[in-house]
Amino acid sequence: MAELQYTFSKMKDNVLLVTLRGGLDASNSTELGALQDKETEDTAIRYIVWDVSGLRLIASAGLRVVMGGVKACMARKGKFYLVGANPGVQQVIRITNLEAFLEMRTSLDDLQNLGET
Amino acid sequence: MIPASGDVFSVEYRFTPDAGLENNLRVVAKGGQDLLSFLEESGCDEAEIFALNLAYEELMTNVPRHVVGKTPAGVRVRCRVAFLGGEANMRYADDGPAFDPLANHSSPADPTSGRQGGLGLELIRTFFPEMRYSYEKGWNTVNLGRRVRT
Repeated sequence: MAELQYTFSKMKDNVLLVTLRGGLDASNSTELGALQDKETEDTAIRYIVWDVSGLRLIASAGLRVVMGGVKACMARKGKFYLVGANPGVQQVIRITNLEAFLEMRTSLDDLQNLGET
Repeated sequence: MIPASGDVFSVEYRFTPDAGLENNLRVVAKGGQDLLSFLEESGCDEAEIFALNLAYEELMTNVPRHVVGKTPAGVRVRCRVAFLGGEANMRYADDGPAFDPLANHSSPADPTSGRQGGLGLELIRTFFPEMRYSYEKGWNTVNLGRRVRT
């Protein structure tokens, strides 16, 4: 699968945005998970948004990183969002019942007000 | 564009404990990039690319992650993808200890539980409902088939 490219940024002080392109698999999920864990050491973060509009594959190893993010958000009474998932990624999320623990959106525009009190 | 009958992708690796997990996974990932190029050149749509790459990833990483550490001599792994008569076929084989993926049952993911075993095989079964397994002459073989969208 295409090599994974990712960036971490803040949409707001309490919203972490992770942008992913390529394939999230066993060869890169450990590194991504460690970076996400490090970013979420910032206790202000309550929401994690994964922009996966450029993600062509997510394998079971990648789902574990999603679960890690979901757990972090749940512990802070926040929420994990998946944005722009292609049909394959959506199917994987549904099969594994992960959609019960996160929110899916079609566009980042849907989350403009996220994190505002 | 429909993949032409006869288009074939094939890889074979030998994974050893000495190489280390990270290096073995890098080898699988490199093969995955080659598979992606093959599927794109064959004219597969994004749904087929996703399904076949997912199956490749889940099957090919099983040995490096769970088997090779217990097998000092290493394990040979093969994967072949072919298009025949409007169907994409994937044939995976390894010469590790017998392991029937169809006997493995996963439970739905629950991030609050820590139980994640068998998730990869559950994903494959969803995208390839007709999954066949055999163990002959020291080789585990998994065959997957899927109609190619036209």
